[in-house]
Amino acid sequence: METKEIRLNGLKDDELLKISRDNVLSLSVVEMRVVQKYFEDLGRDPTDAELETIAQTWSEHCKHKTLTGVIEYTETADSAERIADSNGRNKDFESNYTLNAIRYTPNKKGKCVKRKIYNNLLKETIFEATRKLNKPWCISVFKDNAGVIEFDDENGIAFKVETHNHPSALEPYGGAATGIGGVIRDILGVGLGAKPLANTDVFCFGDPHLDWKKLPEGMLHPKRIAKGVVSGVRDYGNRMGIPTVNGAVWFDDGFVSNPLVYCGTMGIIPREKAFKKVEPGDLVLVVGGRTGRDGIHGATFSSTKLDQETDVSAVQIGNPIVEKKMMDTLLRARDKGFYRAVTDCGAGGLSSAVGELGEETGVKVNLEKVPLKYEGLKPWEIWLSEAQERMVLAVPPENRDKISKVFESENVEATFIGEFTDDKKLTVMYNREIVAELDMEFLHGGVPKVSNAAEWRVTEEKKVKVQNKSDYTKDLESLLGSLNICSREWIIRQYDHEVQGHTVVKPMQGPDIVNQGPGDAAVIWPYTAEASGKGQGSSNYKGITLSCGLNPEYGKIDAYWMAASAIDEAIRNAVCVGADPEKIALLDNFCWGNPYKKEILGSLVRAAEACHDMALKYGAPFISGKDSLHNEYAVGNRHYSIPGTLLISAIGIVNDIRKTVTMCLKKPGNLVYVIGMTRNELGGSQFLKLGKKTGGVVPKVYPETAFRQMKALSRAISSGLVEACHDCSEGGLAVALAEMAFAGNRGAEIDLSRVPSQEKMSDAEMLFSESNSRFIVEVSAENSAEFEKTMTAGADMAVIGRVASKREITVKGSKGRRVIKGSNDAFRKSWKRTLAW
Amino acid sequence: MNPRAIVLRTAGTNCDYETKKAFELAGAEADRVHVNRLISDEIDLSAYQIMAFPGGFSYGDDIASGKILANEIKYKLGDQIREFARAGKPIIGICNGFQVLVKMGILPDELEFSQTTTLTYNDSDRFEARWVNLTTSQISNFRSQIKNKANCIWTKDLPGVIQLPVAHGEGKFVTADRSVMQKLEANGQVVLRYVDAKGRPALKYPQNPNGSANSIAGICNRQGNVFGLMPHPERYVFKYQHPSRLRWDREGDFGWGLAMFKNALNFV
Amino acid sequence: MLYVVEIKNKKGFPDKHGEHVKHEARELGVKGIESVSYRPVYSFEGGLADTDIEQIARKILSDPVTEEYLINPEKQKGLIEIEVWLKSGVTDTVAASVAKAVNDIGIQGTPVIKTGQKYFFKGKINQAQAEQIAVKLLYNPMIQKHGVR
Repeated sequence: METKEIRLNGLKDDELLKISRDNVLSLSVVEMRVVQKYFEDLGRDPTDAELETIAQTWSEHCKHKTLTGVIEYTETADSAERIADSNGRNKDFESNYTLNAIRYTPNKKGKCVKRKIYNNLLKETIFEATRKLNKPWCISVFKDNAGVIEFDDENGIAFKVETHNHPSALEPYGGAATGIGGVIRDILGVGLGAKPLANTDVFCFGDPHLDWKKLPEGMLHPKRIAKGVVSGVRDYGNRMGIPTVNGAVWFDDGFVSNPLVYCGTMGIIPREKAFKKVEPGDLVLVVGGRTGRDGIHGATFSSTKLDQETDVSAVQIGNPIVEKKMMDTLLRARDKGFYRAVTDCGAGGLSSAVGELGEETGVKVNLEKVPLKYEGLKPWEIWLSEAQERMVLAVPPENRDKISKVFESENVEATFIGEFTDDKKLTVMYNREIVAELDMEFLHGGVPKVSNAAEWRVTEEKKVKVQNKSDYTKDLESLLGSLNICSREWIIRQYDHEVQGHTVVKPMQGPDIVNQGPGDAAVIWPYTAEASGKGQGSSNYKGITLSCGLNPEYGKIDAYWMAASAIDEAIRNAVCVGADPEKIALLDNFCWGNPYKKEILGSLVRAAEACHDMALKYGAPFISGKDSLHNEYAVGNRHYSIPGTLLISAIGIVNDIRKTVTMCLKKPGNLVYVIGMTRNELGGSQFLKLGKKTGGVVPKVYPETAFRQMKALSRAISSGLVEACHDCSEGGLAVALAEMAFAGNRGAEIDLSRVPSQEKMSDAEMLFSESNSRFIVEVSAENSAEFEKTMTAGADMAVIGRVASKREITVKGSKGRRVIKGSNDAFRKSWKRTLAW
Repeated sequence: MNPRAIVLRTAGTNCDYETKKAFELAGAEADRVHVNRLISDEIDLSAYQIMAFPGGFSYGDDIASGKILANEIKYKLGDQIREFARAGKPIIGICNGFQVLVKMGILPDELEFSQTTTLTYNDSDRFEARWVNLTTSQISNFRSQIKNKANCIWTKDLPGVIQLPVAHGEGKFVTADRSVMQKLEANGQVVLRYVDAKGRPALKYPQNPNGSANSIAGICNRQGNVFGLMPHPERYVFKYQHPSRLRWDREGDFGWGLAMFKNALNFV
Repeated sequence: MLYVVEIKNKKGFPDKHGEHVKHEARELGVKGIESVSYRPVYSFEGGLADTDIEQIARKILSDPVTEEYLINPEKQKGLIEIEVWLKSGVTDTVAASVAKAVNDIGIQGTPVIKTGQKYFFKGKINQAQAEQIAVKLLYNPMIQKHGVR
């Protein structure tokens, strides 16, 4: 007998927990008891494969138990005003964010408390915003492997971002490679399969200059992790022929032991192919790579803490050529209509893929048919393996030979292993022996709801005192060279960002080889993927923007504003290049520490609430998302947790790529405008970090004004009134100006006293505050009147200077004296030097 | 009847769609064909007038870029390809395709059919994705400029300096010995060179992105019909693909990459 | 019969990867390294004759313009040799490609093929330092095994 039976009957809680631990199931006592009862009712013991299947399907990674479970959320503060303040409900904010019910009740100690019970946090925040917005251009949201929005009459755009953190900490190259491999398969598995157009990658690492002696025992050095991750994503992405056009890297000590690797893919899909449907009688077809012991316990593993004895088999090995061959043939089979449904083998391997596809109908498979890499695998290992590059299809029996021919013609393995039934059961056989037999309803719906407590303490924000200097040139130079601002050229140029020929706005922008600066977003013009391909030129100039927003530093102060700022950043980056602000869709990816700790879960709730509020205000629906919890590393009794990090990724539609805009300054004599209000918001800024200071007011978001200004700016851009546009983010106004100047090989003369602001601020605060929703725009003198009219009265806008021909930046301070004067060469050199590995 | 171009592909080829599209924009009919179908004789090469080896990572660049595909084609389709070349029909090898052509021996001399040149690892020891300046003029002794001496079909009537994107880890052109290089130069087989903004051959990085000897970016055979280059012309067929907005104010909607494909078409 | 094939650069073609590793080892704080050279290495076991291996090395594994091949070479005196191979059970994707290439040039036989890396350190470093360099820079104990000679 290849399959073991495991006795649960009559066991007590501690014994049940031991079984869960010994078999790496990551199931709680409550869950084990539910499983115990299910099998007691059936009158038998479960097999090892059944327990494993349940464990995988019920894992945090697959079911998002914590975020869809009950959360008792409490906010405490000294006064109701403080709570109102921190939620944007005092007189300075435009409108009341009364989108979540509020109850203030003073407790016994006189402290003010807001209490809210969430029955399903995700559903009541992120999904709720999308539901309320009800945008007609959303085709498929939160249902399938990726979110899909409308592109034009014939096509939709699919987008998904995944994280692959735990594997990358153990084996950076392989973990990152399989991360991008996996998200590409998500796009291949949405609907009947989308064609990948572009990748985005966001990484969070520890300090690459860390002294080796300070490294925790057994850990890989952050620089080595960084190099491994960059190489892994590079080799896989380049070989798949998918350009990596967008991304970000963030460095923070909190990521030393737990790097974060976010991999995203965007693809195009004919609208008629956007949905899948399995019929009883359809055959189960596995295509792509063979199955081995790779990554056993991946889903349950990703839900546990890492330590030095972590099981080796949890590492997956990738082979991009197998995936590329599979992609080529899959799309051919799709276009011929040979199959009815497809999904990818990701976490949990065949057990998840087959289990998901067969959820509505029922399915029966014979594991001895699965092609193996080597002999000796037990049935449950075949079933649970996370070997890469595999997809599962539902094929109508009459297409059996036709579809086999397609895969065979390009040396792709395709094996029929079973069929979909109508008995609503999952039946897994091996050589006529039953390995697992479970009711689909129990498997997918039987997981008991979890309940957790979350708490957030509102603290007072105090403005931080900054030393008044007469010259900030050196500060700007240091900022440009600081880890979270400096050039990422070393990474960008290792990724082929031009393959497929669609990249019309590129990750680095400038007039020539030497003069380049960081782009805000990429624009993809999918002219080769059009249905009507032939002929001269192209009649369809629609494009897609890809952008993101992330700032874990703000989250250390208040995760609500971190999330709000990330959303503003992703959207404003897209608007900078020419996206239509009313056609932007968002993705949320939460990477957090231990959710069983109240404060950590509390900050997550804060972030989720901001997602709800801002998505509604910006009219930007969330269409997909993922979370990765338990990003913690334990050495003995000490726990190192990551700063809660929310990545917001955005896709937007560009109506005419001929009207897109880049960020480099173009022509001396042109005017330089600032759009948006600058406030004294140095909290979490790179400027304070450079000076090793803490405190300050974290940047807020005023979405109504911001959105109105973005819409106006977008109109100006599509009317051809804008020569260059760049948003202000890390390092504030000063860094944005410097980047535009050295990118374009032009200078700028700026007067700080003209910058729109509501309060009196020192020069340092003006230069380096990281207030949201601000743009620096270059407009020619001839277009300035029209530009100002388009921006409409009441916009926070002013001319702050001119583009100069002398290749340097001069900034006059509030007192009329020069506070910055530096050459493009000096700034560029500092910017390029830090990560020139 | 429109000329027909065959765009060869295999496991790991990934620039085939846009290469096919480039031919179509130029006015040809183009088919993406897997090498298996040529090897099994399912497809007949004589149905095509132009052949293209597009870019990508054939067989993952395992062992060395283009090595495995070069061997496969040499041993299974070698005679057919040689025939195609000797007949004077246009063949282009882009990036990975260029690597295949030199490792197979079709370039620089399809008659000799042996490997005397190669494209090895970039001097920077990493993958380089950037736009470069290229000259299509012949340069003798790096001092005087002579108009395109080579017969290369593909680069006829191109302006003195153009820009194209490169994206490769193994693009450094080297020859087995000096005599091979001297012959190439003397025969006018060097068709594309990396140059700086002023049009002078670039020896420094990043204008020369990989350290190629004599700044060579592309060569052709003596007849001028077989052309191999590391940069990607199929990625600059519309003006909108150029990285600099200032370059968009040119006449016409098309990029110089398209001119190369049009040249091949005009020839047949 | 076990054949090990090492590929080395011909004179005149600098070993950029080796230089890179030397630079990184110095960053680790290891002094006394004069030079580092790098060679990809392939092992073949079973089913092949001497002539087969020679053909494989010449036609497939090495580039005739820039590289030379060595079959079952002796250990070089005075150098510390660090070799890295995949642990058994870890998929070797390059080995699968080599097998295809062997087949394409018409050689019969299905040897077990493995791919690895060898680094040669010249200078005054001892065994312990070599081990440090290996584990910190050159291999990942998760999926690879190594040897220091």
